[in-house]
Amino acid sequence: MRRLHDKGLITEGSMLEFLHSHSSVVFQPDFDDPRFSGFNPYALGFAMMSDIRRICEEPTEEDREWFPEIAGSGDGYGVLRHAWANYRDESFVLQYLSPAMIRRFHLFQVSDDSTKPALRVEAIHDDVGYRKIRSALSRQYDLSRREPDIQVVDVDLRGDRCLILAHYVHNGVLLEEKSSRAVLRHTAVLWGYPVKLLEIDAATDKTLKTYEVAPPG
Amino acid sequence: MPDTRLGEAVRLESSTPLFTGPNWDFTALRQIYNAVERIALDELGLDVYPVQIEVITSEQMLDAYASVGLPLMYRHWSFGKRFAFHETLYRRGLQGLAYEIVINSNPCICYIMEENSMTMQTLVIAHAAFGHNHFFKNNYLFRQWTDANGILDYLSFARDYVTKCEERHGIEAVERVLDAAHALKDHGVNRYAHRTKPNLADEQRRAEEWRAHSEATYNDLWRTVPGAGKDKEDPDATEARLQEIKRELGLPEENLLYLIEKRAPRLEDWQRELVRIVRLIAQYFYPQKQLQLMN
Repeated sequence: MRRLHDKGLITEGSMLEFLHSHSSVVFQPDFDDPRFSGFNPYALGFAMMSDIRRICEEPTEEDREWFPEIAGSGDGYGVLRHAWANYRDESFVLQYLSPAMIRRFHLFQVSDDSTKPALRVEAIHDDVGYRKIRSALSRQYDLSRREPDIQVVDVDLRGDRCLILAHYVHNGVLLEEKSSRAVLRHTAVLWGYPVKLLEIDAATDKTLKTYEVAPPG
Repeated sequence: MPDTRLGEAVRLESSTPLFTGPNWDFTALRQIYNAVERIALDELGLDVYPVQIEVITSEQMLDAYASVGLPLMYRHWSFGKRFAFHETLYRRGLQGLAYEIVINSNPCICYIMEENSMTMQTLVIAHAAFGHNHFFKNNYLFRQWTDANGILDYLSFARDYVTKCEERHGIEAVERVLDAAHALKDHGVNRYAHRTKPNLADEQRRAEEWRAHSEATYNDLWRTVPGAGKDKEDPDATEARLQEIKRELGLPEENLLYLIEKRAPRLEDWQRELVRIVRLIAQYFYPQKQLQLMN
């Protein structure tokens, strides 16, 4: 849109209409704003990509230290095309989230451990913190950590043909009971025989909870 | 349309705006499309699928919402439910509709709403027809997991197949399988590398061949279960056989729908095919979830 405007192909009014729309799409409330509910992917994505161009075209000393391979290369779009082709959200953040972005978005990391009475701020915008924050944010985009790890582990071939599933529990987060039962009932419809789900602590191998559902009539 | 191109060339040189005011028409859309295309390809170096732009009404946009953004879909009550949900919000003014929807297909289909102003049409052409399009064509996850050439034909096959099943086996019987498969669709994807790039065009042919093959192997699998009454002879042999069967089952398996489709003992062929349809469409969407920030 900016290029169209530079070329005189769209009017001032049109450019303003675009900017109005653009700024509402990439709006990011701050962490202490009541409207905050996590990161707006448009805001973070757009800011990171603009930041990559900045690093390529007008790098600071800090950028040269953090991104020696791209800082000052002058080819912002070349780097972006490479990133678009070869990264996903999780690896993109891990590779390209710069200290400048961490300061601009006021990022910090808080750990909430149920065995401790208080929350603890683990990382802020300093040299040690940048890397911690970057990898913590990257992990939030890792689908394998966002979706439960459920596998078919066995079938009771000798007995009642029961299908046995295991959910590997991380950080003690169990599945919600009501919807688990509902989904298992659906599974039993397809399987045609009973279905069993074991929730197993991934760290200790201990079975924390067991569901068993028979197929309907 | 040689006349429009000529008109555009003159305008570009004189650098007068291609449009003024909020209303759009097809000539202006074409001129803007050409201007955006030049910037996208020449200046940004984007590499895109051919674009097919379709102007749709808000009603059609709600339809597209209902079928999870796909241009055609098999019938299932949950899509109607989603339609009613979005329609209610929209009618009450609680929710605006997207300005566009873009499909990861070749050609890349880009739906734009007729009520958009010309500025917004310009924006969505740049954003979706070139931005998303380039991303779909080039990002490794889309390349690895989705088949942009085959998706539209496959969806049309899926819709016809579901309709035929409904005629033959009844709407309720089909619904029961689809309900169950939908419940498992987040666990119906392969998460790790693929042997070959998916080719949805081969799906139909392969479905037939595979059915014949699985029928041949499947009976074998359950011969040791009680009731067969011939496994009492040698416990060691039985044990060895069980182990062999478990190997054949490929456990552990994280793709629940795959295992069910291939190995569920009681499903009929058409039911397996329905499970497969849900599974392949879930797989088609799997990259999107990992690329919300970047795309």
